[in-house]
Order: sequence, then C-alpha cells, then structure tokens
Amino acid sequence: MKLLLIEDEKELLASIMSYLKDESYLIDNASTYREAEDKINIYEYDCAIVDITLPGGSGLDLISRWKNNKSNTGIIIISAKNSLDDKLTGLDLGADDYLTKPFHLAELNSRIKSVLRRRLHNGSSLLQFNELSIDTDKREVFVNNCSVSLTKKEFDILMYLATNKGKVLTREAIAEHIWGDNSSSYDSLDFVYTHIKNLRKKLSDYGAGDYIKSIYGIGYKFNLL
Amino acid sequence: MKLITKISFRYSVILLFILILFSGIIYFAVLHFINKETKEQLCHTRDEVMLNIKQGNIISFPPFILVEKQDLQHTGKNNILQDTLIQKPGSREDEEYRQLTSFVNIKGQYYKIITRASLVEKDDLAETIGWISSAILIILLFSLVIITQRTTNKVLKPFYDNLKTLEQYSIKSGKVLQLRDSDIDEFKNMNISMVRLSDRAQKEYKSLKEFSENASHEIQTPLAVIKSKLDLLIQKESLDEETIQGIQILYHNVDKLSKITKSLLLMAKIENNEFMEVTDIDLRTELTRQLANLSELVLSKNIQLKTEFNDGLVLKANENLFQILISNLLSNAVKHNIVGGRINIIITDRCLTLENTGCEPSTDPGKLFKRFGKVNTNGDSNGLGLAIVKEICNLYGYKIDYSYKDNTHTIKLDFNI
Repeated sequence: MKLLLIEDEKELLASIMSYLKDESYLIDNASTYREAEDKINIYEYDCAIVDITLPGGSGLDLISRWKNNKSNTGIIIISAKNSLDDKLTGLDLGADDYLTKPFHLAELNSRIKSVLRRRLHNGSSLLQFNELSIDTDKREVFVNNCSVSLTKKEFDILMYLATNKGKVLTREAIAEHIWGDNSSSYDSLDFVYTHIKNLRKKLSDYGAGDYIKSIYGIGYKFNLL
Repeated sequence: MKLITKISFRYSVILLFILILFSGIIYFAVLHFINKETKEQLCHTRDEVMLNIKQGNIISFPPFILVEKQDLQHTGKNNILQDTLIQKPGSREDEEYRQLTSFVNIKGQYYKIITRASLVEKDDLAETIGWISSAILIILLFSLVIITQRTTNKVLKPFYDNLKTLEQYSIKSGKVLQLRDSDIDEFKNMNISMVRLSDRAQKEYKSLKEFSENASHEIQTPLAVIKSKLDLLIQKESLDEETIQGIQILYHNVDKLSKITKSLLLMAKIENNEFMEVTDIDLRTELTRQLANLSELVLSKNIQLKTEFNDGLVLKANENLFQILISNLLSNAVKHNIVGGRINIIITDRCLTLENTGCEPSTDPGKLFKRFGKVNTNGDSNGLGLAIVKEICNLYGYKIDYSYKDNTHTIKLDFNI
C-alpha cells in the first residue's frame, strides 16, 4: 500500500507518520504544493491525505489533477476549514472523505482503511483476528463461524477498535467516532463504557478471546493476545 | 425640535423685538413731529391775533384763542409753551390742550394772548401704532409658517429619504450606500461624508470578519498538532496516574477550544448570510430524527419524554442551520435536565414549545442568548449554543422566548409564518 501525505504543518505530518508506521504502508510525504505536484506526476498512490491550504496552492487543485489523470487514488481531505463549501467542492471533485482538524489519529487511520477497503478489496471485505472475523460490507461479526448479533453501535465500536489494532483509543475518540462532533459530552463517555461492556460480554459468550483491553484512565485497546 | 421649527422660532423672536423697537421709534417720531407742528401753528395763530389787534379787532375764540388786556408790563418769561387740561363744553371729560401764552405790547397797550390747540391723545397714538405693528407681525409670521412648510417638504425630502435609507442600512449587507442627491451644499457634503463613512466601516468590518475567520482556522491547525501528539503520547506504556490525568485535561480543553472557535465561525457565517440554500423542512420529521439520536442520553438520565406533534409544520430554511437549531435546543433540554426529569415537546399552530425540568438559572435569563452567557457552569457547555440559536432565529425572523417557572425551563419558538 502506498500512501501520500500532503500536509504543510511539519509536526502534524510527523505525528501521522509515526501513528501509521506500524501499519504496513509505504508513506511518502509532501509539505508544499510543488512537492506534492512532482510526486503525483511520478508515482501512483493507493491513498492520499490532502491538506487544502498549502504553501503554493490549494489542495483542491491537486485533487482535480488526480481526477483528470483518471487516477484510482483514494483521497481524504484534512482541512482546518470546517466549511461546507470546501467539503462539497472536495467531494464533488472526487475526494472520498473529508476530515476537519483537529482530529484523532485513530479517526484518520480508520478513514484511510475504509477508503482502501472500498478502493482495493474487490469483494473480499473480511477482517480476520484469530477466531474473530468481521465482514465490513455486510456488517456482520463471526466467532468460530457463528454469527454474533451486535447492535449498530457495538459493531461500529468493534470496527473502530479493530482498525486501530494495537493502539490505545481514548473514550472521547470512540464517542466522537460513534456520535459525531456534537455529542462528546460526559454522558456519552458512559455510553462508551456500557457499549463496550456489552460488546465484550457478547464476544466472550461466543468464545472469542478478550481482545478489548481497558487502559486505566484513558480508554481501550484492541490487541490480539 | 425640528431644525426648521427652531430657526422659525428664533426668527419670530427677533422679529418681535424688531417690531417692538420700531413701534417705539415710530411713536416718538410721530409725537415729536406733532409737537413741532403744533408749536408752529400756535405761533402762527398768535401772530394773526396780534395783526388783528393792531387793526383794532380783539378776537376771542375760547378755548382756542384768549386775549386779555393787561395793566402792567409782564416781567418774567414770555412765550410759555405748556400743556393744560380743559373741560369740554357739555362734557365732563377733560381734553388735553397745548397752549402758548404770550405777553405783547401793541400801540402802548399790554396784552396777554393765549392760543391753544387740542392735542392728539398719546394713548390713542400708542394704541394705533401697537395695532399696526401687531398686524404686521401676524402677517409676517403667517407667511413664515406657510413658506417654511412649503419649502421644508420640498427641500428636506431628500434629507428624510436619506435618513430612512441610513436607518435601514447595514454594513453587513456589503452593499454600497445609495443616498439621494440634493442641491443644498450642507446636505451634499453630509451625503459625501456618509458614503465615505460607510465605505470605511464596511472595509473595516470585512477585514475584521476575515481576521476572525482566519484566526478560527489558524487555531485549528495547532490544535490538530496538540491532539495528534496526545494521541501518540497515550500509546506509551507505563504512564503514571498523574500524567494520565494531565493528558485527559489536555484532551478536554483542546476539544473545548476547537468547539468555541468552530461555533464563533459558524455564527460569523450566519451573520454573513452564507447559508443561502433553502429547502422545505418538516419540523415533526426533524424532531423525531434528532430525538432518536438522543434516546440513549434521555434513557440514561431516566427522563420522561412527552411529545405532542398534532400539527405538522413545514418551514423554509437552510437544512444545516435548522438541524443545528433543533439539535442545540434538544441537547440543552437534556443536558440541563435532572435525573428523573421531564421533557415536553409541543408543536402548536406555528410555535414549538420545549419544556424541561432543571435547576434554576444562576444568572440573568436575559443574558442567556448572549455569547458566553452561561447560566449554569456546566463543564460541557461553552455558552455559545443558545447564541447560535438566537443568531439562526434572527436570520429567519423567528421569535424566541425563555421563561423559568416551577423548576421548568420553557423555550417557545414562534416561527412567524
């Protein structure tokens, strides 16, 4: 998998690279419009993360360039502008997703994976973790080939944790992922706890390993034993 | 007081003084002239009488002419001019006369000759002059009123039109100020200054707006850096409790800061009318959809939810803004509720009423819709939710009212349709 990360804020770039290094990606980066332009002309990428405001030009122009070249690159816009216009323009141009700063790295990772799945895994949408398998298309979960019935939110939480395998996720990040920007109140943190409790119980009832770890004071981590 | 009234008033006062002054001058001038004439006339009559005496005719015509023979030569003042009162014949009224008393010697005989002329009564004179002056004053004032009324309407029309334009003008509109021309220099100059002022204000407003928008955007990137670094920090194993607590607080405040700037940006955008697209929105559907999102929260607080959606209501508004409006109101109703409380949502006619139980607001409810006008210090709220609601209501001309009674907060939204 080849990723291109276009972001002019060096520290954010470094954070994203560091977070994604455990995933088996090949990551290229660019911090100016020119640099990005050059790389796009030479290489083919599976997914690109594009900041809109770049020194030397707009990320939106880069997206049109990709689309004009009939490139199959999945594109995620990351922008400081929470502007509907930009979002619509970006998506109209052919971007797959739009993420507003500031975001959780886990959220970005989850969006990247989702874009890659949609773009590349033609047909195969099964994530396998030992006896636990998740069908991302049909939104079904199996333990030892037995279907586990999960609520929508339980499934979403499991997916979120599984796509960020081996990473600690805060309860806030999970709440934001499930309920969106507006509902990260103290109450929703309790719901995260309740949903995860139910999720763990359901999985263990079907004989799955206890893959969801509580990290004291912070959140949760999906880890194969 | 209107400018023209003030000017007219001053003019009238000055006019009054001028007329009084001139009435006085005329009075004394006339009096002086009459006195002079009378004296001449009296002297002339005396000379006639003397001429007659020389010819042997002693004329007497009381009370106008009196001639007395004198035995002795008169010593002292001669030709004495004085005023005297003499009773009219057949009347009790006294009349004022001026008399000239002369002592003369004609052919060795001494005579005392008194000639009299009846005087114009001073009172009558003053009265007449007074009446004439008053008549002039009244005519002048009357014409002044008519002239000012006629010209005011004509001359001041552009001024009043411009005043109306100014009252309705908003810098936010982004339009150039259009004022009516006038052929009066003062108004012309004022128009020029006004247009310049509005241009300048508009430019300053625009740059301020751009600044706040840019500032809101620029804040998001450093926040993204902080958040990403925190995300990496928590991946570390063996963090002690103090560090974890610190990280949590950092996360929370990063989110808070990010939300404040986003809310401010949203309000700026509403003010700038950046949400032009309008669709039909069914209030019932929107409420039902959003309540479903909140159902967990409502359940967890054990809140009794009652809805009365008898009347459907379809509104024309921007979908995003309307969602924000409803979402802010509903989440407030849940957030500021008590465990085991109630929420009643009623749609009637053209109003939406939201009632929820909750603690008494600790600050002035009037500040509720102001930015950062938090009522209760709830760590979760940034005090902008209702300000945004108010902004959206202003945009669409909705009327919003808040009241608190019997532990119940009531928000009534009148859609004015």
